[in-house]
Amino acid sequence: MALLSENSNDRVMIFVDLQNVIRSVETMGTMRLNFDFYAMAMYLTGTRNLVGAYVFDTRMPFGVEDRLRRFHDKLRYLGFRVIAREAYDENRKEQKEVDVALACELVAHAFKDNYDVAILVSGDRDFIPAIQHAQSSGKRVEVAAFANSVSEEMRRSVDRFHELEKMPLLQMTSTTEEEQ
Amino acid sequence: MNDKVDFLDFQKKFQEQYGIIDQDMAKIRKIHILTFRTAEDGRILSRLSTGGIVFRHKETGMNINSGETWVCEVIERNTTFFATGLLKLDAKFFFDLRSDQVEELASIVWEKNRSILEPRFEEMYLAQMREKLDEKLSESKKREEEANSRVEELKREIEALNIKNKMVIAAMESELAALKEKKTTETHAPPSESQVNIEERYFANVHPKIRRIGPDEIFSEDFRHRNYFVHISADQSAMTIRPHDQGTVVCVDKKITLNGLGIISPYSGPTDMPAEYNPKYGAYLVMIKYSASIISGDI
Repeated sequence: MALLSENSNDRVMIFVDLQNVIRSVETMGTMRLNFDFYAMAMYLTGTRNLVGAYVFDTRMPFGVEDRLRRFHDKLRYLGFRVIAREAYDENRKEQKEVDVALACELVAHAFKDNYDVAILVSGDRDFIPAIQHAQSSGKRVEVAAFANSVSEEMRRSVDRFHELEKMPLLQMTSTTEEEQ
Repeated sequence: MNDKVDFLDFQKKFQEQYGIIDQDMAKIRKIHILTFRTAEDGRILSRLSTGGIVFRHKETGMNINSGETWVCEVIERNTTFFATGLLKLDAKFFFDLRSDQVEELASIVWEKNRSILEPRFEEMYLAQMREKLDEKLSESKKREEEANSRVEELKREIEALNIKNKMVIAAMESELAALKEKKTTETHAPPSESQVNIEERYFANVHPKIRRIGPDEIFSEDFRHRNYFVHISADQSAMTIRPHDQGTVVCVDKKITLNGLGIISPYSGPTDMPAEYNPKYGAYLVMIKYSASIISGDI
Protein backbone atom coordinates (compact mmCIF):
# COMPACT_ATOMS: atom_id res chain seq x y z
CA MET A 1 0.00 0.00 0.00
CA ALA A 2 1.51 3.31 -1.08
CA LEU A 3 1.76 6.08 1.49
CA LEU A 4 1.31 8.76 -1.15
CA SER A 5 -1.88 8.30 -3.11
CA GLU A 6 -2.34 9.13 -6.75
CA ASN A 7 -4.46 12.20 -7.28
CA SER A 8 -6.21 12.61 -10.63
CA ASN A 9 -5.52 16.33 -10.49
CA ASP A 10 -1.75 15.83 -10.21
CA ARG A 11 0.19 17.35 -13.09
CA VAL A 12 2.71 14.82 -14.32
CA MET A 13 5.84 15.49 -16.30
CA ILE A 14 7.94 12.66 -17.72
CA PHE A 15 11.69 12.88 -18.34
CA VAL A 16 13.18 10.02 -20.37
CA ASP A 17 16.88 9.30 -20.62
CA LEU A 18 16.53 7.52 -23.96
CA GLN A 19 19.92 5.82 -24.17
CA ASN A 20 19.57 4.44 -20.64
CA VAL A 21 16.26 2.76 -21.55
CA ILE A 22 17.52 1.44 -24.89
CA ARG A 23 20.65 -0.03 -23.26
CA SER A 24 18.56 -1.75 -20.57
CA VAL A 25 16.16 -3.26 -23.14
CA GLU A 26 19.11 -4.53 -25.19
CA THR A 27 20.73 -6.01 -22.07
CA MET A 28 17.56 -7.96 -21.30
CA GLY A 29 17.78 -9.58 -24.75
CA THR A 30 14.10 -9.35 -25.56
CA MET A 31 14.36 -10.43 -29.19
CA ARG A 32 14.72 -6.83 -30.41
CA LEU A 33 11.06 -6.12 -29.76
CA ASN A 34 10.12 -2.47 -30.02
CA PHE A 35 9.84 -0.65 -26.73
CA ASP A 36 6.58 1.29 -26.75
CA PHE A 37 7.37 4.71 -25.27
CA TYR A 38 3.85 5.94 -25.84
CA ALA A 39 2.35 3.05 -23.81
CA MET A 40 4.97 3.62 -21.13
CA ALA A 41 3.97 7.28 -20.79
CA MET A 42 0.29 6.31 -20.62
CA TYR A 43 0.77 3.57 -18.01
CA LEU A 44 3.08 5.71 -15.85
CA THR A 45 0.66 8.63 -15.94
CA GLY A 46 -2.40 6.51 -15.18
CA THR A 47 -5.42 8.65 -14.40
CA ARG A 48 -3.29 11.70 -13.67
CA ASN A 49 -2.87 14.67 -15.94
CA LEU A 50 0.17 14.48 -18.25
CA VAL A 51 1.45 17.99 -18.91
CA GLY A 52 4.70 17.17 -20.62
CA ALA A 53 6.91 14.31 -21.72
CA TYR A 54 10.57 14.98 -22.47
CA VAL A 55 13.00 12.63 -24.19
CA PHE A 56 16.71 13.41 -23.92
CA ASP A 57 19.24 12.04 -26.38
CA THR A 58 22.19 13.05 -28.59
CA ARG A 59 22.15 13.75 -32.28
CA MET A 60 24.74 13.78 -35.02
CA PRO A 61 25.89 17.10 -36.55
CA PHE A 62 24.11 18.28 -39.66
CA GLY A 63 25.21 16.33 -42.73
CA VAL A 64 26.26 13.22 -40.79
CA GLU A 65 24.02 10.18 -41.08
CA ASP A 66 21.98 9.78 -37.90
CA ARG A 67 20.17 6.44 -37.51
CA LEU A 68 18.14 7.81 -34.59
CA ARG A 69 16.75 10.82 -36.41
CA ARG A 70 13.70 8.96 -37.69
CA PHE A 71 13.06 7.56 -34.27
CA HIS A 72 13.24 11.03 -32.72
CA ASP A 73 10.74 12.23 -35.31
CA LYS A 74 8.45 9.37 -34.48
CA LEU A 75 8.60 10.29 -30.80
CA ARG A 76 7.86 13.92 -31.63
CA TYR A 77 4.90 12.74 -33.71
CA LEU A 78 3.61 10.83 -30.65
CA GLY A 79 3.79 14.00 -28.56
CA PHE A 80 7.14 13.76 -26.84
CA ARG A 81 9.41 16.80 -26.66
CA VAL A 82 12.72 15.46 -27.87
CA ILE A 83 15.77 17.36 -26.68
CA ALA A 84 18.77 16.05 -28.60
CA ARG A 85 22.17 17.51 -27.75
CA GLU A 86 24.72 17.70 -30.49
CA ALA A 87 27.50 16.39 -28.32
CA TYR A 88 28.56 12.79 -28.84
CA ASP A 89 32.07 11.57 -28.07
CA GLU A 90 32.75 9.28 -31.01
CA ASN A 91 35.98 7.96 -29.52
CA ARG A 92 34.56 7.05 -26.10
CA LYS A 93 31.17 6.08 -27.54
CA GLU A 94 29.32 8.10 -24.95
CA GLN A 95 26.86 10.94 -24.97
CA LYS A 96 27.69 14.32 -23.49
CA GLU A 97 25.53 17.06 -21.93
CA VAL A 98 22.44 14.84 -21.91
CA ASP A 99 22.32 14.07 -18.19
CA VAL A 100 22.90 17.69 -17.25
CA ALA A 101 20.25 18.85 -19.73
CA LEU A 102 17.72 16.45 -18.20
CA ALA A 103 18.63 17.45 -14.63
CA CYS A 104 18.34 21.16 -15.49
CA GLU A 105 14.94 20.64 -17.08
CA LEU A 106 13.68 18.59 -14.12
CA VAL A 107 14.78 21.18 -11.57
CA ALA A 108 13.79 24.23 -13.65
CA HIS A 109 10.22 22.94 -14.13
CA ALA A 110 10.02 22.16 -10.44
CA PHE A 111 11.07 25.69 -9.50
CA LYS A 112 8.58 27.12 -11.99
CA ASP A 113 5.86 24.91 -10.47
CA ASN A 114 5.05 23.41 -13.85
CA TYR A 115 4.33 19.96 -12.47
CA ASP A 116 3.31 18.17 -9.25
CA VAL A 117 4.90 14.82 -10.05
CA ALA A 118 8.04 14.24 -12.06
CA ILE A 119 8.60 10.77 -13.48
CA LEU A 120 12.21 10.16 -14.38
CA VAL A 121 12.74 7.24 -16.73
CA SER A 122 16.33 6.31 -15.95
CA GLY A 123 18.21 4.30 -13.37
CA ASP A 124 21.30 6.52 -13.48
CA ARG A 125 22.23 7.67 -9.98
CA ASP A 126 23.79 10.86 -11.37
CA PHE A 127 20.28 12.29 -11.21
CA ILE A 128 19.94 11.93 -7.43
CA PRO A 129 20.97 15.56 -6.64
CA ALA A 130 18.46 16.88 -9.18
CA ILE A 131 15.76 14.62 -7.69
CA GLN A 132 16.53 15.93 -4.22
CA HIS A 133 16.28 19.53 -5.42
CA ALA A 134 12.89 18.85 -7.00
CA GLN A 135 11.70 17.12 -3.84
CA SER A 136 12.90 20.00 -1.68
CA SER A 137 10.74 22.36 -3.72
CA GLY A 138 7.68 20.28 -2.76
CA LYS A 139 7.49 18.06 -5.82
CA ARG A 140 7.02 14.35 -5.86
CA VAL A 141 9.55 12.42 -7.92
CA GLU A 142 8.98 8.93 -9.24
CA VAL A 143 11.49 6.81 -11.09
CA ALA A 144 10.77 4.18 -13.71
CA ALA A 145 13.61 1.89 -14.70
CA PHE A 146 14.65 -1.66 -15.33
CA ALA A 147 15.93 -3.47 -12.26
CA ASN A 148 19.23 -4.17 -14.01
CA SER A 149 19.98 -0.48 -14.47
CA VAL A 150 18.98 1.10 -11.17
CA SER A 151 21.01 1.49 -8.02
CA GLU A 152 19.71 0.90 -4.53
CA GLU A 153 20.57 4.50 -3.64
CA MET A 154 18.29 5.67 -6.43
CA ARG A 155 15.39 3.51 -5.19
CA ARG A 156 15.78 4.99 -1.73
CA SER A 157 15.89 8.57 -2.98
CA VAL A 158 12.62 8.61 -4.90
CA ASP A 159 9.02 8.72 -3.73
CA ARG A 160 7.91 5.81 -5.89
CA PHE A 161 9.65 3.30 -8.08
CA HIS A 162 8.10 1.69 -11.17
CA GLU A 163 9.62 -1.57 -12.40
CA LEU A 164 9.58 -1.30 -16.16
CA GLU A 165 10.30 -4.98 -16.75
CA LYS A 166 6.92 -5.85 -15.24
CA MET A 167 5.00 -3.51 -17.52
CA PRO A 168 3.82 -4.84 -20.89
CA LEU A 169 5.74 -2.38 -23.02
CA LEU A 170 7.44 -4.50 -25.66
CA GLN A 171 5.38 -4.41 -28.80
CA MET A 172 4.74 -7.69 -30.60
CA THR A 173 3.84 -8.07 -34.24
CA SER A 174 2.29 -10.66 -36.51
CA THR A 175 5.11 -10.56 -39.00
CA THR A 176 8.84 -11.19 -38.77
CA GLU A 177 11.40 -8.39 -38.91
CA GLU A 178 12.36 -9.32 -42.48
CA GLU A 179 8.75 -9.06 -43.60
CA GLN A 180 8.51 -5.60 -42.04
CA MET B 1 -1.85 -63.59 67.57
CA ASN B 2 -1.88 -64.23 71.22
CA ASP B 3 -3.87 -67.45 70.93
CA LYS B 4 -1.58 -70.32 70.08
CA VAL B 5 -2.83 -73.16 67.92
CA ASP B 6 -3.97 -76.00 70.15
CA PHE B 7 -1.95 -78.74 68.56
CA LEU B 8 -3.42 -81.53 70.70
CA ASP B 9 -6.88 -80.47 69.75
CA PHE B 10 -5.79 -80.37 66.13
CA GLN B 11 -4.39 -83.92 66.40
CA LYS B 12 -7.66 -85.16 67.90
CA LYS B 13 -9.62 -83.63 65.02
CA PHE B 14 -7.16 -85.09 62.55
CA GLN B 15 -7.66 -88.59 64.01
CA GLU B 16 -11.42 -88.28 63.84
CA GLN B 17 -11.40 -86.87 60.35
CA TYR B 18 -9.20 -89.56 58.83
CA GLY B 19 -10.09 -92.47 61.17
CA ILE B 20 -6.57 -93.11 62.30
CA ILE B 21 -6.11 -96.00 64.68
CA ASP B 22 -4.85 -95.40 68.22
CA GLN B 23 -1.53 -97.16 67.61
CA ASP B 24 -0.69 -94.74 64.85
CA MET B 25 -2.02 -91.88 66.84
CA ALA B 26 0.43 -92.65 69.65
CA LYS B 27 3.17 -91.96 67.17
CA ILE B 28 1.47 -88.84 65.81
CA ARG B 29 1.00 -87.51 69.35
CA LYS B 30 4.76 -87.43 69.71
CA ILE B 31 4.88 -84.80 66.96
CA HIS B 32 4.88 -81.22 68.18
CA ILE B 33 5.57 -77.81 66.74
CA LEU B 34 7.97 -76.06 69.03
CA THR B 35 9.79 -72.75 69.11
CA PHE B 36 13.12 -72.90 70.86
CA ARG B 37 14.79 -70.19 72.92
CA THR B 38 17.93 -69.78 74.98
CA ALA B 39 17.41 -70.13 78.71
CA GLU B 40 19.25 -68.07 81.35
CA ASP B 41 21.82 -70.84 81.83
CA GLY B 42 22.57 -70.80 78.07
CA ARG B 43 20.78 -74.04 77.21
CA ILE B 44 18.44 -74.11 74.22
CA LEU B 45 14.98 -75.38 75.17
CA SER B 46 11.26 -75.12 74.50
CA ARG B 47 8.07 -75.79 76.40
CA LEU B 48 5.12 -78.06 75.52
CA SER B 49 1.55 -76.77 75.80
CA THR B 50 1.15 -79.09 78.74
CA GLY B 51 4.01 -77.31 80.48
CA GLY B 52 6.83 -79.87 80.05
CA ILE B 53 10.30 -78.55 79.24
CA VAL B 54 11.82 -79.88 76.03
CA PHE B 55 15.56 -80.01 75.44
CA ARG B 56 17.35 -80.77 72.17
CA HIS B 57 18.17 -84.47 71.73
CA LYS B 58 21.92 -84.72 72.16
CA GLU B 59 22.35 -86.95 69.11
CA THR B 60 19.57 -86.05 66.72
CA GLY B 61 18.42 -82.59 67.83
CA MET B 62 21.58 -80.49 67.91
CA ASN B 63 20.78 -78.85 64.56
CA ILE B 64 18.01 -76.87 66.30
CA ASN B 65 19.01 -73.29 67.14
CA SER B 66 17.52 -70.67 69.43
CA GLY B 67 14.63 -68.73 67.92
CA GLU B 68 13.76 -71.44 65.39
CA THR B 69 10.42 -73.21 65.09
CA TRP B 70 10.48 -76.91 64.29
CA VAL B 71 8.12 -79.80 63.76
CA CYS B 72 9.68 -82.16 66.27
CA GLU B 73 9.34 -85.69 67.48
CA VAL B 74 9.39 -85.49 71.25
CA ILE B 75 10.57 -88.40 73.39
CA GLU B 76 9.72 -88.50 77.07
CA ARG B 77 12.37 -89.60 79.60
CA ASN B 78 10.94 -89.54 83.13
CA THR B 79 9.75 -85.95 83.48
CA THR B 80 11.96 -84.46 80.79
CA PHE B 81 11.38 -84.30 77.07
CA PHE B 82 13.92 -84.43 74.23
CA ALA B 83 13.22 -83.16 70.72
CA THR B 84 14.47 -84.38 67.35
CA GLY B 85 13.92 -81.81 64.57
CA LEU B 86 11.90 -83.16 61.63
CA LEU B 87 11.06 -80.03 59.67
CA LYS B 88 12.13 -76.45 60.19
CA LEU B 89 9.28 -73.98 59.85
CA ASP B 90 10.93 -71.01 58.21
CA ALA B 91 10.27 -68.79 55.19
CA LYS B 92 11.37 -71.60 52.85
CA PHE B 93 8.69 -73.84 54.30
CA PHE B 94 5.98 -71.32 53.59
CA PHE B 95 7.26 -70.57 50.09
CA ASP B 96 7.19 -74.29 49.28
CA LEU B 97 3.52 -74.60 50.20
CA ARG B 98 0.97 -75.16 47.44
CA SER B 99 -1.54 -72.39 46.79
CA ASP B 100 -4.41 -74.33 48.34
CA GLN B 101 -2.27 -74.91 51.44
CA VAL B 102 -1.46 -71.20 51.60
CA GLU B 103 -5.11 -70.33 51.33
CA GLU B 104 -6.03 -72.82 54.04
CA LEU B 105 -3.29 -71.43 56.25
CA ALA B 106 -4.33 -67.86 55.57
CA SER B 107 -7.98 -68.59 56.33
CA ILE B 108 -7.03 -70.28 59.60
CA VAL B 109 -4.78 -67.39 60.56
CA TRP B 110 -7.50 -64.93 59.58
CA GLU B 111 -10.26 -66.71 61.51
CA LYS B 112 -8.13 -67.08 64.59
CA ASN B 113 -6.87 -63.49 64.55
CA ARG B 114 -9.71 -61.65 62.91
CA SER B 115 -10.39 -59.41 65.87
CA ILE B 116 -6.79 -58.20 65.84
CA LEU B 117 -6.17 -58.11 62.10
CA GLU B 118 -9.39 -56.47 61.09
CA PRO B 119 -8.81 -53.09 62.83
CA ARG B 120 -5.21 -53.07 61.63
CA PHE B 121 -6.17 -53.74 58.04
CA GLU B 122 -8.95 -51.23 58.32
CA GLU B 123 -6.49 -48.65 59.56
CA MET B 124 -4.05 -49.43 56.74
CA TYR B 125 -6.84 -49.38 54.18
CA LEU B 126 -8.14 -46.08 55.47
CA ALA B 127 -4.66 -44.57 55.40
CA GLN B 128 -4.18 -45.74 51.83
CA MET B 129 -7.61 -44.49 50.80
CA ARG B 130 -6.91 -41.12 52.40
CA GLU B 131 -3.63 -40.90 50.53
CA LYS B 132 -5.28 -41.76 47.20
CA LEU B 133 -8.13 -39.35 47.82
CA ASP B 134 -5.66 -36.59 48.63
CA GLU B 135 -3.83 -37.32 45.37
CA LYS B 136 -7.05 -37.27 43.38
CA LEU B 137 -8.14 -34.09 45.10
CA SER B 138 -4.90 -32.31 44.26
CA GLU B 139 -5.20 -33.56 40.65
CA SER B 140 -8.76 -32.28 40.42
CA LYS B 141 -7.72 -28.93 41.84
CA LYS B 142 -4.93 -28.70 39.29
CA ARG B 143 -7.34 -29.57 36.46
CA GLU B 144 -9.81 -27.01 37.75
CA GLU B 145 -7.12 -24.32 37.79
CA GLU B 146 -6.10 -25.23 34.23
CA ALA B 147 -9.71 -25.14 33.06
CA ASN B 148 -10.23 -21.79 34.77
CA SER B 149 -7.15 -20.28 33.12
CA ARG B 150 -8.30 -21.66 29.71
CA VAL B 151 -11.74 -20.13 30.27
CA GLU B 152 -10.10 -16.79 31.04
CA GLU B 153 -7.96 -17.07 27.92
CA LEU B 154 -11.02 -17.86 25.76
CA LYS B 155 -12.88 -14.95 27.31
CA ARG B 156 -10.04 -12.64 26.34
CA GLU B 157 -10.00 -14.09 22.79
CA ILE B 158 -13.76 -13.62 22.48
CA GLU B 159 -13.44 -10.07 23.71
CA ALA B 160 -10.68 -9.34 21.14
CA LEU B 161 -12.78 -10.94 18.38
CA ASN B 162 -15.79 -8.90 19.40
CA ILE B 163 -13.76 -5.70 19.18
CA LYS B 164 -12.35 -6.77 15.81
CA ASN B 165 -15.81 -7.72 14.52
CA LYS B 166 -17.21 -4.39 15.64
CA MET B 167 -14.42 -2.62 13.75
CA VAL B 168 -15.04 -4.76 10.64
CA ILE B 169 -18.77 -4.14 10.83
CA ALA B 170 -18.21 -0.41 11.23
CA ALA B 171 -15.82 -0.39 8.26
CA MET B 172 -18.25 -2.42 6.14
CA GLU B 173 -21.13 -0.18 7.10
CA SER B 174 -19.20 2.92 6.08
CA GLU B 175 -18.14 1.16 2.86
CA LEU B 176 -21.75 0.21 2.18
CA ALA B 177 -22.88 3.76 2.82
CA ALA B 178 -20.22 5.05 0.44
CA LEU B 179 -21.29 2.52 -2.21
CA LYS B 180 -24.93 3.50 -1.79
CA GLU B 181 -23.98 7.13 -2.17
CA LYS B 182 -21.88 6.33 -5.20
CA LYS B 183 -24.70 4.30 -6.72
CA THR B 184 -27.12 7.16 -6.21
CA THR B 185 -24.67 9.56 -7.88
CA GLU B 186 -24.09 7.14 -10.75
CA THR B 187 -27.82 6.65 -11.21
CA HIS B 188 -28.22 10.37 -11.66
CA ALA B 189 -25.11 10.84 -13.78
CA PRO B 190 -24.90 8.58 -16.87
CA PRO B 191 -21.55 6.85 -17.49
CA SER B 192 -19.09 8.74 -19.64
CA GLU B 193 -18.74 7.94 -23.30
CA SER B 194 -15.16 6.69 -22.89
CA GLN B 195 -16.17 4.21 -20.22
CA VAL B 196 -18.92 2.82 -22.41
CA ASN B 197 -16.56 2.66 -25.31
CA ILE B 198 -13.82 0.79 -23.55
CA GLU B 199 -15.64 -1.56 -21.27
CA GLU B 200 -18.76 -2.39 -23.29
CA ARG B 201 -17.85 -1.91 -26.88
CA TYR B 202 -14.44 -3.55 -26.84
CA PHE B 203 -14.42 -5.69 -23.71
CA ALA B 204 -17.88 -7.18 -23.38
CA ASN B 205 -16.39 -10.22 -21.67
CA VAL B 206 -14.10 -9.27 -18.77
CA HIS B 207 -12.93 -12.86 -18.42
CA PRO B 208 -12.15 -13.93 -21.98
CA LYS B 209 -11.21 -17.49 -22.78
CA ILE B 210 -7.91 -17.21 -24.64
CA ARG B 211 -6.39 -20.42 -25.93
CA ARG B 212 -2.91 -21.12 -27.18
CA ILE B 213 -3.34 -23.19 -30.32
CA GLY B 214 0.17 -23.10 -31.72
CA PRO B 215 3.70 -21.95 -30.93
CA ASP B 216 2.92 -18.44 -32.20
CA GLU B 217 -0.87 -18.57 -32.34
CA ILE B 218 -3.62 -17.70 -29.89
CA PHE B 219 -7.37 -17.98 -30.36
CA SER B 220 -10.40 -16.51 -28.61
CA GLU B 221 -14.09 -16.09 -29.34
CA ASP B 222 -13.66 -12.59 -27.92
CA PHE B 223 -11.24 -11.51 -30.66
CA ARG B 224 -13.84 -9.59 -32.65
CA HIS B 225 -11.64 -6.85 -34.12
CA ARG B 226 -9.28 -6.86 -37.03
CA ASN B 227 -6.34 -5.03 -35.48
CA TYR B 228 -4.79 -5.27 -32.04
CA PHE B 229 -1.87 -3.89 -30.14
CA VAL B 230 -0.09 -6.68 -28.30
CA HIS B 231 2.56 -5.88 -25.71
CA ILE B 232 4.66 -8.15 -23.54
CA SER B 233 6.51 -7.30 -20.36
CA ALA B 234 10.29 -7.49 -20.40
CA ASP B 235 10.26 -10.16 -17.71
CA GLN B 236 7.97 -12.12 -20.07
CA SER B 237 5.34 -12.74 -17.41
CA ALA B 238 2.41 -10.76 -18.80
CA MET B 239 0.95 -9.78 -22.14
CA THR B 240 -1.70 -7.20 -23.01
CA ILE B 241 -4.02 -7.43 -26.00
CA ARG B 242 -5.80 -4.19 -26.91
CA PRO B 243 -8.08 -3.70 -29.91
CA HIS B 244 -7.09 -0.64 -31.93
CA ASP B 245 -7.68 0.43 -35.53
CA GLN B 246 -3.96 1.05 -36.01
CA GLY B 247 -2.88 -2.09 -34.14
CA THR B 248 0.17 -3.87 -35.52
CA VAL B 249 -1.25 -7.36 -35.00
CA VAL B 250 -3.88 -8.64 -37.40
CA CYS B 251 -6.64 -11.00 -36.28
CA VAL B 252 -7.91 -13.53 -38.79
CA ASP B 253 -10.72 -15.98 -37.96
CA LYS B 254 -10.41 -15.04 -34.29
CA LYS B 255 -6.79 -16.13 -34.40
CA ILE B 256 -3.79 -13.93 -33.69
CA THR B 257 -0.30 -14.79 -34.81
CA LEU B 258 2.45 -13.37 -32.60
CA ASN B 259 5.94 -13.54 -33.95
CA GLY B 260 8.34 -14.96 -31.37
CA LEU B 261 5.75 -16.14 -28.82
CA GLY B 262 7.05 -19.70 -29.16
CA ILE B 263 10.51 -18.51 -28.14
CA ILE B 264 9.26 -16.50 -25.17
CA SER B 265 6.99 -19.26 -23.93
CA PRO B 266 7.69 -22.73 -25.37
CA TYR B 267 4.60 -24.42 -26.80
CA SER B 268 3.59 -27.75 -25.25
CA GLY B 269 0.19 -28.35 -26.80
CA PRO B 270 -3.09 -26.42 -26.75
CA THR B 271 -3.71 -24.70 -23.40
CA ASP B 272 -6.00 -22.06 -21.96
CA MET B 273 -4.19 -18.88 -20.95
CA PRO B 274 -5.44 -17.08 -17.82
CA ALA B 275 -6.73 -13.69 -18.89
CA GLU B 276 -8.93 -10.85 -17.74
CA TYR B 277 -9.81 -7.30 -18.67
CA ASN B 278 -7.46 -4.93 -16.87
CA PRO B 279 -8.74 -1.35 -16.56
CA LYS B 280 -5.26 -0.01 -15.78
CA TYR B 281 -4.01 -1.07 -19.20
CA GLY B 282 -7.38 -0.83 -20.92
CA ALA B 283 -6.66 -4.24 -22.40
CA TYR B 284 -6.94 -7.96 -21.89
CA LEU B 285 -4.13 -8.95 -19.53
CA VAL B 286 -2.86 -12.44 -20.27
CA MET B 287 -0.66 -14.20 -17.74
CA ILE B 288 2.14 -16.03 -19.49
CA LYS B 289 4.00 -16.94 -16.33
CA TYR B 290 2.45 -16.77 -12.87
CA SER B 291 3.48 -13.75 -10.84
CA ALA B 292 1.75 -12.53 -7.66
CA SER B 293 2.23 -8.90 -8.66
CA ILE B 294 0.27 -9.44 -11.86
CA ILE B 295 -2.68 -10.91 -10.03
CA SER B 296 -2.75 -8.12 -7.46
CA GLY B 297 -2.46 -5.53 -10.20
CA ASP B 298 0.73 -3.94 -8.89
CA ILE B 299 2.41 -3.84 -12.26
